Amino acid sequence: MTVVLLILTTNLKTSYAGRGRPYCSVVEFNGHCFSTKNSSYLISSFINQEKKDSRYTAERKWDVLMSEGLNSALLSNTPVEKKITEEEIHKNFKTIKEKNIFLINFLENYTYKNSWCNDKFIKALKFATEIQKHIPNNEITDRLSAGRIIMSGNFCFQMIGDNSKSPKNYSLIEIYPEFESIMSPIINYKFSNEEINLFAPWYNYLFGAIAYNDALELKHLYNSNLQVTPNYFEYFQDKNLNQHNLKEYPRWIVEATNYMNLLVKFKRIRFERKDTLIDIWLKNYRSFINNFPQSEFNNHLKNIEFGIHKLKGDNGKFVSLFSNELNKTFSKIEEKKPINWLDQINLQSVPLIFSGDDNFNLPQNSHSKLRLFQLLTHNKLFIKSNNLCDEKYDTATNDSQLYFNKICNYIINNQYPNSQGFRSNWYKIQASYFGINLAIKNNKFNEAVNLMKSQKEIMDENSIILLVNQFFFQAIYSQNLETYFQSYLPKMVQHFDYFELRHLAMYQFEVYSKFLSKKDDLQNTYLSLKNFNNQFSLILPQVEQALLYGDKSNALIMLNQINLKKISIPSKKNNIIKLLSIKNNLNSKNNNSLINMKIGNYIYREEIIPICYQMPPNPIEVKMISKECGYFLIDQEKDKFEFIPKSHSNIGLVPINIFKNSLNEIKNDKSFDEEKYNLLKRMIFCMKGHERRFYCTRNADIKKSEPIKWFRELNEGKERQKHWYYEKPYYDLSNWPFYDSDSKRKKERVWKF
Amino acid sequence: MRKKLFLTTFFIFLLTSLILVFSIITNQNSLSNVKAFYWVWAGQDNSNPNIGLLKEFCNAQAFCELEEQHIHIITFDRKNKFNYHLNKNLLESLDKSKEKIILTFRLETLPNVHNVGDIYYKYTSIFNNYGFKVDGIEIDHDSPSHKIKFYLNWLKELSLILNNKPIEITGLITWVEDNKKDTIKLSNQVKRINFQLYRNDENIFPKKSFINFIDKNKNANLAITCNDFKFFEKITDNIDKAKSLSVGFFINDSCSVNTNNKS
Repeated sequence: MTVVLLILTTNLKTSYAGRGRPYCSVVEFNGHCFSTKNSSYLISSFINQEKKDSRYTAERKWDVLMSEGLNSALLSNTPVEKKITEEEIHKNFKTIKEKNIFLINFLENYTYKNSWCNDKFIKALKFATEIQKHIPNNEITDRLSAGRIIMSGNFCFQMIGDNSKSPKNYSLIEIYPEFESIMSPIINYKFSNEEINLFAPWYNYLFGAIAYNDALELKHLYNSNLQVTPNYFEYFQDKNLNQHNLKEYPRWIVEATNYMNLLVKFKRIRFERKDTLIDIWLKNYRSFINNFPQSEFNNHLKNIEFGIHKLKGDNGKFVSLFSNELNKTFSKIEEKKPINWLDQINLQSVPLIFSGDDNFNLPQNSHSKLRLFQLLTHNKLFIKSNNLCDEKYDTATNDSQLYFNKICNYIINNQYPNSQGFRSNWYKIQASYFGINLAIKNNKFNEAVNLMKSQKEIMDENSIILLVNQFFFQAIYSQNLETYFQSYLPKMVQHFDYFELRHLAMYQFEVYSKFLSKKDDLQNTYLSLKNFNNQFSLILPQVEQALLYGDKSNALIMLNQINLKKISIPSKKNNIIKLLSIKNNLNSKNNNSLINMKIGNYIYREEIIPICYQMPPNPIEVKMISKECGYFLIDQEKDKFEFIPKSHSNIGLVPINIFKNSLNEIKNDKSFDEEKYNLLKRMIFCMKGHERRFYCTRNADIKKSEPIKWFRELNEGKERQKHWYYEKPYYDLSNWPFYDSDSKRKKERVWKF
Repeated sequence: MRKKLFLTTFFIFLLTSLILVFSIITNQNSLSNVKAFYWVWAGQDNSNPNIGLLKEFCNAQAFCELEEQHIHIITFDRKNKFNYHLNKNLLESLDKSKEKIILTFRLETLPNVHNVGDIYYKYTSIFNNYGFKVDGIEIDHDSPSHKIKFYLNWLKELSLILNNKPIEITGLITWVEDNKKDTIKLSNQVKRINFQLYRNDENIFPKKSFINFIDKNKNANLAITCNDFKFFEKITDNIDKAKSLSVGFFINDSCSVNTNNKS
């Protein structure tokens, strides 16, 4: 048993979370990623994937599509039906409470105060008004009426005289004793048959509403013979009433009870999804609509009906009803009429419905935005097999119809969408972006560049950055980098004279040099470059690797062929200053210790690690890049491009070790006092902070006594010494720069900080 | 006689084994103050194997006490819309052996505090009807660091309408880096803050200053993603042993699970 337990407690292996890859969330390019797409620019899912869009992607697309032209119903710019004001509520409340002794007593201690509660409260007032009309001047009426108002909802009432800074609003549980004291006489009171006929629907509705809206099940507390049906809202179910035959009941209580009954049953169907329940629901719903064609509840029930058809699997019926209802909503928005809460729900439901497992064939009269959305989110197989493009618009009367036609023209005739013919700028940008994107994906690079040039005036800076990144990535994918860098990139940079685009070109050269270059194409590309900044971006990663591996002469060969003073890249200003200093010191063969200190400092501050250990920026995958460790020696003078290989176990120079050696070498030389103090300060600072420690001390085990010694040397003779500049490394020294030994063994790559 | 001798020897062996096992258990001091819990997150249908593994790890290996499961019941999205996640499948999938639960509200933006209170009370009633006891609320809101004060006031209001029921919140490491002063105030207002140590499905080891913050603030706790037990142990190793620490496990469908490794 012991053995078994020991095995259990010591050998339980576990699964670990995978290390996620950082992704670009905005239009950007950096060490972790460069964006090739962005949710603001719509791309049909059929060009990238075999599946249709997920709910998340579909929602983003719907938001973007809805943000155009329709005054953004989802962003609440469209007027929404006016809600009742607090003043109106108080006016209605006044007439009810004046005659109700129970409310009068309750309101001696409490006051209605919370506009948040208005919707709930107005429903309670409606109940009170209707019961007063039905059975006026009656104690039971007053009790039921007061009970409904008190239990309108959570936080509707405050205590009178609560003058605190944040007066308390009472929850239903807290206010429940007040309800109980009003309602308790009803318990065990034996109502006559006549009274039961009168009060039972109101009594059931009251408790049903509390249970439905606030999930408070009070049934077990009230054993009244007024509860004549097992479920609260079934009182009128079999009474076959209609608007012309109400058997002396007020129309409101009959409609509201039946409506609530349908709501409760719908909830149950959502849980249980049984065909029998669905059929009963539809039967009851139809009889309600027939019996009360003018009911205020019909709109909501019609919307529930869509859901019922969907649950039943009758997709044709569902999508037809849903699409008709959306057409009405779109019309309201286009005519700038107020939309109601059901319109809002329908609009918001579109991505959820269309990203689900079911596919829908939209009726011909569906709104063009909805048809366009389907074309943008569904896969090619669905589009083709359902002949979506057979029903193009003969004469496109609006931009969404025109865009629908243009996407179909691509699917049928391979004709790239462009900006021609659109009225709104938004559609012009979207269509030109999409067309160019398609051309790039199809490796039609010349066509893509021509489309970019011809639509220059329309395209915005973000879309150009995305497309140039997409171009770069496609060139990697199709192994066409040499042509890309020699021909297409210069054309684009020249044509679109943006600062950000020039910056992006340098970024791409650097990424290429680090992760993707091969001997021949690097040589050709380097020699073809006329721009100093681009040349520098290409050679910099190789110079840095030469410095890291301690190959000073190779680093100098490369540094000597760049005129660092002519480089104007703001983000590389610090690198250039430090490299210039290293170059000058190496050329003048200055003190070796000083040169080493500068190289150590460069590796530390610029966080240089072997390229073969580094993750490429997303979306470049590890399988696309070289596994070799080392760097290219670029010697233009001797026309020499040579790969200098290094072993994987070689992590290069460790800055703190360089600093320690240099310190030993200069510590007795008075002429280097200033350098010595600066070096000591730097070494001490290396011990503070996770990131500094990671790049400065790397795999070197620095004992706490060492920085203490450095402090003493720095503050020689001073009594008070600061020793707190020491933190344990938060990584395993022997695995540096890997996360763990497993990653090290597998030679997995790491993200730099 | 020989039988008696055999039985005596057997019992001595058994007793020795039990003492040995007991001593192994009690020697695991490093995690004696550590409690763990996990989130049941909406839409994550394949979490059960990982939850099982966590329980096994906690009970068998790490000797951490398992706390209330945190049930994600609602999301308030950026379009100011409440998305309700509770359904029959979720209710049936919950671990009935632990009847106490915490209701988690994911708030991408802050709604009216009364809405949150209203939903809390409604769902408390629903869970009560299913035999669970709701033991508090957790707010998952990534407040920007400069808006912590605003968030604090919002939580004070919530606390008032919830009649001082225990409130937990999730927290971001950046709060401590950017606005330590208000973060401390925040931690004093709530029962605890579960600081998320992960970003994009990756657990990231925090800086020493953050560890110090956790050590010094009794209501500050941690949350990690997936069953990254190695990370869990590394974290607990670095936390002051005197600190009572809770670590939440955010388990989603993208977390890998290797059931072959289960002993």
